[in-house]
Amino acid sequence: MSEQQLIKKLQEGDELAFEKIYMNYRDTFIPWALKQLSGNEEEAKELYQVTMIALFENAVNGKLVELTSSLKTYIFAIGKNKIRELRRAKGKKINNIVDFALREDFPNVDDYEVFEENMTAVEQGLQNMDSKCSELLTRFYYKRQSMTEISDHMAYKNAKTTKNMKYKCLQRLRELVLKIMASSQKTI
Amino acid sequence: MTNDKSVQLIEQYLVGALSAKDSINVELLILTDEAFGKLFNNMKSALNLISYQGRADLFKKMKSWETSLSKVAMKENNIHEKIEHYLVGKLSVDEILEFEKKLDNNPEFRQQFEETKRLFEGIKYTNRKKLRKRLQRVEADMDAEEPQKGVVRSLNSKKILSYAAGLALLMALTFIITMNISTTQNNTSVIAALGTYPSDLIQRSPVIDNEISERLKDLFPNHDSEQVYMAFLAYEEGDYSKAKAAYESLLTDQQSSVITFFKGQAAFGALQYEDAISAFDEYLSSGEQRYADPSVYWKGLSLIASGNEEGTKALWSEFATEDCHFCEKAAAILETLK
Repeated sequence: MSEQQLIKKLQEGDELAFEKIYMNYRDTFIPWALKQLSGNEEEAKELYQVTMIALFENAVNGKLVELTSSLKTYIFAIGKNKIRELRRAKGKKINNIVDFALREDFPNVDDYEVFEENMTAVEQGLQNMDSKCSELLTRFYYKRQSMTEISDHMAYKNAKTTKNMKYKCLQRLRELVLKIMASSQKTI
Repeated sequence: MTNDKSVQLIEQYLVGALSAKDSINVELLILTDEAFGKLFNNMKSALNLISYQGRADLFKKMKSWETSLSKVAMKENNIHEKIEHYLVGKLSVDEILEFEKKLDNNPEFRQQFEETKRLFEGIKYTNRKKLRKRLQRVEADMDAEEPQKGVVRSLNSKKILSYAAGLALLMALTFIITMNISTTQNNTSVIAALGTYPSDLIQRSPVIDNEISERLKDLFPNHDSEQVYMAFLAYEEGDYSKAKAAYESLLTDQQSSVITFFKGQAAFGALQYEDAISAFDEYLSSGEQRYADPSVYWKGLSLIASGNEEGTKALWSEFATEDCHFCEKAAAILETLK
């Protein structure tokens, strides 16, 4: 599969294309990251992983449409930015590159304990709900697929049906999360 | 009988409040007393009309509930969209000001905003974690399979690799590679023999098109045909580890004995014989028959490759005497094992 075909698949949120891109640039990125991070092997791998997650999100958010450089140059540019951001963040008591990257671009994440609790509740809610519902929410809110694309993938009648379904699923998730949070407060 | 008494009696009769004996008396009166009969008919029609109108009113009410519910849904959907647009910076300056004003002045809206924001963030966070887990799995697979080729291999492990150990490794690898070449050739014949394996589709085009997608949907109705395609493609390209990981991912979404069989083949190609044996065992215990013969055959090969020739001999002792394509192949291998 050519690079252009892989990028196209990535823009559609295809996780296997994502894995293929990961494998394609792994052997050049990790040795480079090793030098940047003073030889810490685990950190180099983690940096590559968070870089790739950022690439995935940029792709599904339509930021790769006008890719002027090669994909490799783009990936390295993200990597360099991540290192810069991480160095800046270290002053703010964040030392773990993965934790930092997972929370990235969530506004006002000052109280990490509360944030973690909230995120765990949503994660559990997504796990506990009907798998079709969590897939729909993931496709729409994370992979940024359109209602029509989701209808095609998930065999819903049309975009309107999918939109109604999305509303119901979000309501269901809201209820589940509130329930999970209420029960965790009870146990505290 | 006075008119009032008649009205009362008919009313009770119509609502079923009379005893059986009184009901018979009313029915006799309807038949014998013309005035009573006429009154009864009028009252019955009126009651029917009331019921009809009552039902119609109820339907109207229900319809209006539905309309207001869908309006609420639409309104809520719009609110979600607005919150989302606010969070990703899609609102105009005026809209932002209006949105923030509402946040400041309307505590109910503020709460809804906070809850919805939490859900959006949680969905993103959960999926980031999922993607990372996937990449960690890829790394773990690579570490397990090809430590000698790893980019970030440990220097210490290189140093301690003695000449004797190196020689033993070389011999083992030679055996494994020889096995793998022969099994790769066998793969082709297996694919041809299976018939339903869509390798012809994959060879035709490196990109999934509608026709291929439709055929895969027929073969694997419960799985994402694109993902199935990528798994087959990886296998065809000889990237067995990737194919195996792809099949495993498909199985996480939805169990399927057929996919388990293909996972076994990919595990064999990736030299992970224990995994291959487990997969073939799982397939064989599923009761599925389509790939039963090749499963027994491939399990036998996996046992040989993992050094358990006796296991293969026991497994194939009857199988090799039966009349089937893979049974004959097994018989030929058993001959060489003797």
